[in-house]
Amino acid sequence: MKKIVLYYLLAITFVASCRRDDDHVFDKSPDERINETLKAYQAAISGSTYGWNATLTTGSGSSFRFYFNFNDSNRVLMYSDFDSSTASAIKESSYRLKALQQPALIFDTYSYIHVLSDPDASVNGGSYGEGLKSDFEFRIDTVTTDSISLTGRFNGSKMVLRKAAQGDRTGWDNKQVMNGIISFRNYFKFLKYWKRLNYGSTQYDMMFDTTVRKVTISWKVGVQTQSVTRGYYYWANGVYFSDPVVNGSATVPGFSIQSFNAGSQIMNVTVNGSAATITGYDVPLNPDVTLAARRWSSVSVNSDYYWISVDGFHVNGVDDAYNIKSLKTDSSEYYYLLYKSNTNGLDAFIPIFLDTVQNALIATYGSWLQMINNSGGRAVFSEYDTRTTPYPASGPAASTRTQMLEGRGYYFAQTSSYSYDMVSDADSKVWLTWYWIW
Amino acid sequence: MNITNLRICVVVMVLGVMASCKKEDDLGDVSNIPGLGGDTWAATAIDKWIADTLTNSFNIAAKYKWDQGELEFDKTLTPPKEEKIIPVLSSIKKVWIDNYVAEAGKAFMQTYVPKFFVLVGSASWNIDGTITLGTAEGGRRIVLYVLNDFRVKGMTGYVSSDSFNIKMMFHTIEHEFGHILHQTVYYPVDFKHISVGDYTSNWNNVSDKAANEKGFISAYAQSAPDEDFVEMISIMLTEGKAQYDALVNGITSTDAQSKLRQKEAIVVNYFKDVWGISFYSLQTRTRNSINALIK
Repeated sequence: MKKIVLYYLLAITFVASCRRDDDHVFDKSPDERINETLKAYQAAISGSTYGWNATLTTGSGSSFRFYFNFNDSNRVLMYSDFDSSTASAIKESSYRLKALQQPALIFDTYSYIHVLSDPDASVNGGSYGEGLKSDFEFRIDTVTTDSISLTGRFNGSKMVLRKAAQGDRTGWDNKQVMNGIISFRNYFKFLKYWKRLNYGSTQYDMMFDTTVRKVTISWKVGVQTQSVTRGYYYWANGVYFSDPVVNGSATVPGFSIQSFNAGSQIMNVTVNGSAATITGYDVPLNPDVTLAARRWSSVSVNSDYYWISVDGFHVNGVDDAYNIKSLKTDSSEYYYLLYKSNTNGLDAFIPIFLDTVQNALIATYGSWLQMINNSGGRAVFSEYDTRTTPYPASGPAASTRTQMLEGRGYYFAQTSSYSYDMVSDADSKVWLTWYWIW
Repeated sequence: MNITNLRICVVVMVLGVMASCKKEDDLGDVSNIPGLGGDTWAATAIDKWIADTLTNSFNIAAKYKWDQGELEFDKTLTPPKEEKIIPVLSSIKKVWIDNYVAEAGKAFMQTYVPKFFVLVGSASWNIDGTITLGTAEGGRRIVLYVLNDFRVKGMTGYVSSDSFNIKMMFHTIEHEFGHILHQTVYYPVDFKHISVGDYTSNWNNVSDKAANEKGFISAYAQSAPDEDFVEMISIMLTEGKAQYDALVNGITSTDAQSKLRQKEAIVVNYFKDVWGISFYSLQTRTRNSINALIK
């Protein structure tokens, strides 16, 4: 009986193990298919007569615009809106397509795209050892007739290539991007902190985060405030948004800068070809400012770290107007101004000195402040007590203390993930930048 | 059928099943595997220069195009600028290859030269904030960093501090080439006895100055006799005789001075006896070539 079972089992094994058909899911070998794919991708990227417009969003969230023109012998021409020189001189370097784990596009000798990845922070303003967390080796995600999407293989940055028209190439060649970068520097020469674009019958409040190239645009519709955040890039002698701002029937794609008059404090621009202006204002429209002061304070309350300001108050176009950097004692010199929110509601507001002999940070005079948020979102600081060592009777520290305690208080504007500007309500030409130290 | 016969029967049938089920799996066109034989691209003037100057005469390959596989996977690095490649490689040829060829002959260099250079544009940043300028492994592969900052006299933006980078680059190359030489023919064991007991794995906490006072040419030389030997070679060659003598004579400890002089003598004899090279002549040539780049 046992034997019969055994023979049955053997027979089953025999039949089952001898299926000879070798069914491939694909009709070609993996090598043939990867070669075909690479060939098709090569034809696609070098097939665009006027090259490609590209937007690269780095791993740290900043976005940059590039122009690429690939030929079929591993050479690529490039512009970038990183700075005025990369936007004005076209640079040739090499690239290749390679089968890594996925088909990949590699920019394999140094060009403008590598500037963002350079581990030397002095090149790109990023951090030492990692730059701006960008990529120059991308896996190819999708290729369509007029767009290619790529993902960086090291920092996961995203790049989208869109087929360029002749006008796009001409725009770069005619230095329209470079002019945009240079003209936009004037935007930061307004004496008043809050700036609005006056276009049609609407005022559009703009707040730029230059560290990640994002702008928040706010405007009023009746009594309601609308607010949107967009990426921005340099184009057509000005600044353009990643997507146009749509306000009812009006569309604002960005603005081209014509001129800036420092005397009258007016920047003349064009929007959709018609004249418009950017001017300074005393108060913001951006609804976020009603929340920003509380957020600024709570970051510090909930942490062992604190906010610092190196430059002190900016007044009427002058950085460090009170000359706080000149403060010193016998053995120490001014290092930064500290603000630390505490859970008991008494916040430290103390100039910190660096003892150059001991190489240690020290505090001498300073204040314990109470911060009160009023209904408009402004923060008003009042002095509860001072440290035992008295403030100097006059000079930078005294002026800074008096300004800090100014009765109308301050609007707070978040300018990046680690910085806030504190802008006087009484005079929007007065502000101070706080940086988060972690 | 007894149980043994049954077993034999089963084994025979299993073998039959296995043999009958051999599946022939067509490998396809194996000559068509992508990347087989290395990356290819349309050759440029740089590729031609490397082929003519280094590959055809010395069988040296220089990889300047980005290949993550040659580098550390956790470091942010960039490829070099194209305009730096020929200046770097030609100065390597002038300072290192040409001088050895002049002293020891072309056949010597063709035999022992490291065959593979990897060129990187940026520095390699370490966690402690220091940077690595070059590494080498196995007597075959040398990785050189910071090519994008390579500037010799006459280039735009050259400042005298750039000479440090250049000296460090040649230090790396001469150091690694020293390893190749002593791994081929070992140096006299007397060398190991000079500083016996002073070698330490803790060398990275020792300053060069302190190492000098113990009879070592550099802190790294203190890590092991082999490193000591090649540090002697590389520093004597890149600094030149005058600089080296000044360094030794500037040491306070006479014991340390004498140790360095003993090591120097062994290095010089080793070059003479083993390779038939006049070390001092090589030193003069090498230093002159470096001076031509930086002064």
